[in-house]
Amino acid sequence: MKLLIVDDSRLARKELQNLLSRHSDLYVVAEATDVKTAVAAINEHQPDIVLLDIHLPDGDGFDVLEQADYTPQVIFTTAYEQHALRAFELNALDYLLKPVTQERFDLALERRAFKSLDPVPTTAIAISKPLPKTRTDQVFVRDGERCHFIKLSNIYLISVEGNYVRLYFQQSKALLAKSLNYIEERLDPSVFFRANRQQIINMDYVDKIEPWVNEGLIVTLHNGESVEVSRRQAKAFKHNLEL
Amino acid sequence: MFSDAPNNMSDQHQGSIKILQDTARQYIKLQLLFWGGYLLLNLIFMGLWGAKSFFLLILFLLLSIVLASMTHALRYFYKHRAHAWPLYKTALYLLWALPLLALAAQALMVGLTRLLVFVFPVLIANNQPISIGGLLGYAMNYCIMLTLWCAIYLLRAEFTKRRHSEVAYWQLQAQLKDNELQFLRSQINSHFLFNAINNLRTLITEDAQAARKGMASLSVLLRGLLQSDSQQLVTLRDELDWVQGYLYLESLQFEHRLSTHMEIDENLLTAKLPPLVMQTLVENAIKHGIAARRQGGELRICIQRISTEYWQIEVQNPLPEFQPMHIGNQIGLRNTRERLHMAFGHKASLDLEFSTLVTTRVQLPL
Repeated sequence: MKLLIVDDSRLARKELQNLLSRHSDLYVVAEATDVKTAVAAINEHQPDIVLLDIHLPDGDGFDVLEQADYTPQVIFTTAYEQHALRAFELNALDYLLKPVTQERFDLALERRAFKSLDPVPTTAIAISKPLPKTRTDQVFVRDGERCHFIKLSNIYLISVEGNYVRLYFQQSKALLAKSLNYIEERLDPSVFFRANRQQIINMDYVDKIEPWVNEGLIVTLHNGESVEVSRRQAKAFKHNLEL
Repeated sequence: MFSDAPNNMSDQHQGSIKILQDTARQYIKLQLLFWGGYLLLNLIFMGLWGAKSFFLLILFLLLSIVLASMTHALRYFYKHRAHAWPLYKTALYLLWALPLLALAAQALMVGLTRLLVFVFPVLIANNQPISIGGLLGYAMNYCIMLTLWCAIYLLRAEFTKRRHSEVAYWQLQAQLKDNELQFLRSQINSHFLFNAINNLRTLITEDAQAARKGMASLSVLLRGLLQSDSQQLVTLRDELDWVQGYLYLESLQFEHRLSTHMEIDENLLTAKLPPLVMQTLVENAIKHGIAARRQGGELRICIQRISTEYWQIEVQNPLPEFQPMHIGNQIGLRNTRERLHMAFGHKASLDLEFSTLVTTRVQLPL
């Protein structure tokens, strides 16, 4: 598995390399020292796991995840327990306090590695197929004080909100500072369908389809929410279903 | 860095119980003295009028008990409802409550008299009907007594309340300041501390000599943090030891990103300053200048004499390229300013100057 180390201290990076030396199945594809180089390294190497320092000269670890096109498995490292880390839902991420003991380090890696090799549940199979621009199965979203790692398979609706988009997943929603077109380009079109100018729906959550005026369609999602499919897209939608 | 604030909660608790016991005792004294005195006065007047009767004695005793019970009820009301009210509001309530209470007391007394006469018919001889005017006159008398009682009680209560709230206010302020300081110290330094230990851990295998130097620096710095008494001044020589230890450890973290230039007037090594003042300046300069720049930068320290009576410490750092991660700069500096003020009054000052560089300048008396 490919691994990226992000930390501004050379000695701290070396320490992580030391801790990694007994893990022959992992190799470090790159090291980065700040947000800018970390984002570039993630986009270029698409590592499976990132060891990510919270404090970086030009921002923090969350900035890296927000700016990268691809969200790998993340293990945060920090010198002291920080408020920001508690914004995560339980088990959403792992973090290590420096200095890290070998045992704690091994445990964190085991958990992450196990997660990425997890047999993918049926709804997510379509998503785990190679996607147009990314092969990720999760996205990172920082919405105000809260942070989420969201499995794409859990997202049922994406809709425009101002210049941003809002992701609806499970019982919650989160604002993502990207455009709907940007999102659409990076998602598997056979799963995430652009219903109209404002919305993208997850086909796995479609419950009911009814004809609508002007040769359009009304699609009802699992939670009863209905979404209009424009005339332009209705044809593509039907085509999509025939497949 | 390490909290050792004494836990004085239990002390405070016991203190407040003692105050409560004191006030309860004072209250009982007030009740006994006031209504006892009233009883005595009534008896004296009875004696002056030459109306010596056991029946009247009983009645006056009952009267004192009735009025004492009423004031006790008033106190209950004050403690549970009115103690937070402004004084004028309590007074407004009393304005209509006291006459009503006096009338009620009078009604009760009439009832009690009737009851006594009914139970002990022997006393009938002394029972003369009293006119309505007489009844109102008595009620007026009670009302004056109740007002007097309330005035004494309220004065005392309000005075105590004011004194307590003042004491509590200052205690709270002191506590807050202390907490703030503790919090800042632990936050700022533990981040640095664990990074330093983490770096030393790797350095042990990479460069044992450098690691040994780092351990020595760490202990010098820890000793400074743990053992320096914030009330006492230290020499610049001691302070420089800590600063150099600190800088060495930070150089392990930042490596080529941190370069340091120091100019120190050797004659000032025995000058005095509050402990860790210079260290705070240097720490701030690194955190807000060097750490928030991708390529780091140079830290300049200049210590010189500026007149026959004053010397100064000047710390310069480049402007940050990015928003620094830590907040608390202002609090750190404010705290330093306060410590300087406490040690030297208006003779010491701390100024911040922003240009292409950030300059922090502390002036101290010799």
